[in-house]
Amino acid sequence: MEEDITKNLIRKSGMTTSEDFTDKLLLKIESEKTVHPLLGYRYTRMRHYAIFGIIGVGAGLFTLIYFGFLPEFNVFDFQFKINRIPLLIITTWLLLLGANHILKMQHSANLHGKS
Amino acid sequence: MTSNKEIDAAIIERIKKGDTHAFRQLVDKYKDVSLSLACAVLKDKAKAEDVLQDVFIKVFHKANSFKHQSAFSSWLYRIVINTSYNELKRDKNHLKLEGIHSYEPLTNERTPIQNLKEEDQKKYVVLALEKLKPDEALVLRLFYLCDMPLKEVQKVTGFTSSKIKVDLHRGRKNMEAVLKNLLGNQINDLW
Repeated sequence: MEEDITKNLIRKSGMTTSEDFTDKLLLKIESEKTVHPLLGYRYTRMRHYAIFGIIGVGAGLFTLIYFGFLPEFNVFDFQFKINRIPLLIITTWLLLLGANHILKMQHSANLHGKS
Repeated sequence: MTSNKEIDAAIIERIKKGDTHAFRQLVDKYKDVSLSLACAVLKDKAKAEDVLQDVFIKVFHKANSFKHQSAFSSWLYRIVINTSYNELKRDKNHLKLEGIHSYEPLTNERTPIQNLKEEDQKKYVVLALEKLKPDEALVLRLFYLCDMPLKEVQKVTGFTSSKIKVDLHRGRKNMEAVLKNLLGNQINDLW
């Protein structure tokens, strides 16, 4: 079959979408826009719980250590004692690290939501 | 005079700002050709429309990543083709293409082509294209329907130029064979 004939025939074969194709598409996009903020709201609430959880557990540990709970354990008759000050420093550092990470996540989620 | 590429670029800039009216304009401009390309691969209009919906949603969200290095149409067609082939791979139950010689004519009595309306002629050509392998039908449509030069077809499909030439040649031959099978000697009246 010659080229110009093929071209002519294939031009005849152009297809058309259904009439409501574009409307359906725009409707889908609009519905996605309304779903995203809802998801964002859900995750924001989850992050709040996570922050309060970390702060709660951290504060509990801090109090226990401060008021004399010092871990001691024996391994083959060697007694291990952990001092209060380094433990407090490590707990505080971990607490701040966790809170910082969650706040950063929240900040980037807010920026994403705005865009 | 403003070129097609510049018009598309202006529309995309509006889409980047969230203008859905501009998006509608773009969809209306490209939806039919995109459907023809998706159909060339998937051989199923309903499925092709579903794929196109996903493609255009992807385009709407990824408009920011379009850098105007190539024509928008090439970018879009590349997404359409890749998504269609992915869908084809995913659909494990898709019908295996029959051999080119096993096609049955539409009716036992062949209709004289001169009696066919333009719409019926189109139907036969679409049917013939549906019987071709996805690669052949795709290359034929890109080359003849979209008027793309060989290099552009290469960019959009990722096929080598020799494969494209072979597919074009085989596509033309197979299409003629299918049309002959469907219409008999009346095929000569098509041209």
